[in-house]
Amino acid sequence: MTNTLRDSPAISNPVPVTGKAPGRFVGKGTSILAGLLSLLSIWVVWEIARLWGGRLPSLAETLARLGTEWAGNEIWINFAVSINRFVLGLVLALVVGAILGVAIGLSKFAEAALSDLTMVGLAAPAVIWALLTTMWFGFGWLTPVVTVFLSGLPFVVVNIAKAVRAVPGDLILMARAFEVPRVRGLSQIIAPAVAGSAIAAVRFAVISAWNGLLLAEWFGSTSGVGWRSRYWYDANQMDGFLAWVLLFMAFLVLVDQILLAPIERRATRWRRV
Amino acid sequence: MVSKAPVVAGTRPVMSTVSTSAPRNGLQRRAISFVALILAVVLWAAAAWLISDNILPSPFTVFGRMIELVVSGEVFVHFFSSIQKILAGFGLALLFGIPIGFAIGKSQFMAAYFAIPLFTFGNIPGLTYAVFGLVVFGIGAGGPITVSAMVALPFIALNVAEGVRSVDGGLLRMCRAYKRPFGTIVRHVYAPALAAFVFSGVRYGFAMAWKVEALTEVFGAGEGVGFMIKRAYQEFHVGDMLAWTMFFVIVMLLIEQGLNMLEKRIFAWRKDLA
Amino acid sequence: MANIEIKQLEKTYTDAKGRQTRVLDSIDLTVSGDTFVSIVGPSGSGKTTLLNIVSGIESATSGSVSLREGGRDAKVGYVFQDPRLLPWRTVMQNLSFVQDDRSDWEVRARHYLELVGLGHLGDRFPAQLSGGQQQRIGIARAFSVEPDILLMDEPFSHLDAMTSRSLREHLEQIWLQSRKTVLFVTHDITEAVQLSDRIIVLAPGGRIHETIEVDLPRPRRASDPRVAVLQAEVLARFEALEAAA
Repeated sequence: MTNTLRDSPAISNPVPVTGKAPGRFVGKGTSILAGLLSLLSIWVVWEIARLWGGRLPSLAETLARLGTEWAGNEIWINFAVSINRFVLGLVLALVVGAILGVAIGLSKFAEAALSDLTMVGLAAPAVIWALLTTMWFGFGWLTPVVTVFLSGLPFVVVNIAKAVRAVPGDLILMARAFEVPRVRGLSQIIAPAVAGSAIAAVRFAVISAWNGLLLAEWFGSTSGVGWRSRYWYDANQMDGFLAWVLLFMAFLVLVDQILLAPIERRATRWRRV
Repeated sequence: MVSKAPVVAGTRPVMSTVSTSAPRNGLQRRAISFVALILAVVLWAAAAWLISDNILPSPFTVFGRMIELVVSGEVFVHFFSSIQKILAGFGLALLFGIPIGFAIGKSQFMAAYFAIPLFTFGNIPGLTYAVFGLVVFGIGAGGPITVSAMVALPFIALNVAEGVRSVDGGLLRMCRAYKRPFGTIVRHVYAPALAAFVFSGVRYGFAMAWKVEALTEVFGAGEGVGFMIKRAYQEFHVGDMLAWTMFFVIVMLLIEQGLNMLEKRIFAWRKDLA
Repeated sequence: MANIEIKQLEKTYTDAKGRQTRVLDSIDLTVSGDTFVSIVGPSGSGKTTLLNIVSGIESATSGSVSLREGGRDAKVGYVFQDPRLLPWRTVMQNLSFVQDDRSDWEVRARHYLELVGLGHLGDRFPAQLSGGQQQRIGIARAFSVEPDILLMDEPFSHLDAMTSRSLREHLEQIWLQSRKTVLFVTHDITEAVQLSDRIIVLAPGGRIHETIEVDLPRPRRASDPRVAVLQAEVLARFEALEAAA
């Protein structure tokens, strides 16, 4: 994801997540058929992989495990714990990142001082934060929260800086020339200009921070979704692990694709028409 | 009246990005950046001195350890091992990603067909790749290679698809008017148009693949950067861990910089890069 | 002596809902020898479609087109409305791209680059040139294959008035030197009168409305009163055609 954030040849959307929404295909029936075929192929490939690498669970076992986890209330308990940590770390990252990002966007000095450090932050993988925080803070709540904060932060900084730079100076001068009221200038010029990058900041932070949370809970926690998936892995029950992976994906799809992506599409619609 | 409103902040000339502003006052910029880095190290040293426990070693300990690792050649062995696996993975990703991207770019059916797998590959948390890499392939090189291929695949396929779509219909009609044979059209129209897209697919995919590959090595490997990070963790050796982290970051930034420069050189015809 | 023979040419498009639109209607046209023929007509009269069919880019619904030179198929050069240069190839490489006869293409390419006044820009990429320069490269490219027939589709319409005037003069000079059969599509009557030996007026619906022979000495100047008189006359007929439609 690193490169999305820098000035890059605007060739394509570099993050597959945001890729092509299936909605744009002309034949609805065809695309549903293709989707079904696709799911069927995935299932076939999975079964073949199972024959070869014997420890992969079957989908039926996985779904059954999902059912027992649900019945045992494990899903709600662990998600409640994790989302608490996640939101705390993410909000911290958004606040601090926004402050740094605005500074970088406005001041050449701040940019020169902070952009190399930001690059370092972007380059460091989340697992390092997870392992370091585990060593530093042990198995407490600080480990996941700090990891979430650190893995989300650089993405917020870069995208908020981008948002600030997107403020169109010439249009603001135009607005002044026409003596447009301040509120209208804010809502008609600045808000639309920065909305795209600001939402992108949240999206990238969510994706990266979620990844960090899972790792931090895997290595340094005794509760939460990451810990629960490790529990099954340690018990050598791969169906339990896969069941939790499906939940991780579902959470990301829910937050990123169903909640944030449509907002971003709306906010940047004017660029694409 | 809007004038003299706080909005003024926004009326500064819109700041250029890092790369374009560099040449103008590069020296000053570099100096500020350097001082900032030094300051960060000083803060780190102060924190280490305050805590004075080997849970946070001083920067000098870590730099010393880095030098040792370079002198002993260990760094090169493990980075070479990791990079080899990534290259093999990217080879696989290109092998599958280019035809898939072509199919997606040419046919809406194929685009719908590959939408779900590519979305999944691009969105699986790194943890999952690492665990399944270990479960299926054990601690050999197979896991990291397959994992980097799967991570890179959507980047390459989607970029190639974008490239195929971008091939200008006007140019293709021009080729027909001058009756160019198909082979020539592939070589002179499709290949150059796609090369740029494949390259940025590689560039975008690289950072992700590099991180997930290292993660896979953390979970299970016999050598490689991730393996060394894991060993430092198991031995509770924070100094080693920080040293390897520094190497990881440095190498990643260097390779990125290299790819960036290479892209500018190869694709000099592109205005948006120039 | 190149020879273009178009017989009973029809073209209809069918849209997604099955509705048919006729864009060319029983076109009969014979051009032989070194004639400069302009095709004018209001927009939607099928000018570009006609040119595309002649070049082989599009196929006709019915009818026939034959392009002959002596006893063989004629070689065709095409200048498009937009330059259509390969952006990733230099100017010379772009000219090289369209050559079938590899023997002395470089001499030819340099020759025509000189003729359009861009001999010194052979190593540039298209993105480094202005729109007018790119269009001149497109013209040099078309001449450099030494075509028997030259097709041009509003080649100057995207350029500003000054640039297109100077390019028209360039074109006339090159044409006077190399003498080819030209089919030139334009919506600009001044341009048509200044350049052509014959003007074919297409009516909406794609029929040939009338054919006007232009018998004025060359090189012609836009300021020549005889050109101006003829222009006014063609324009009057054109307006009558539009009023009738």
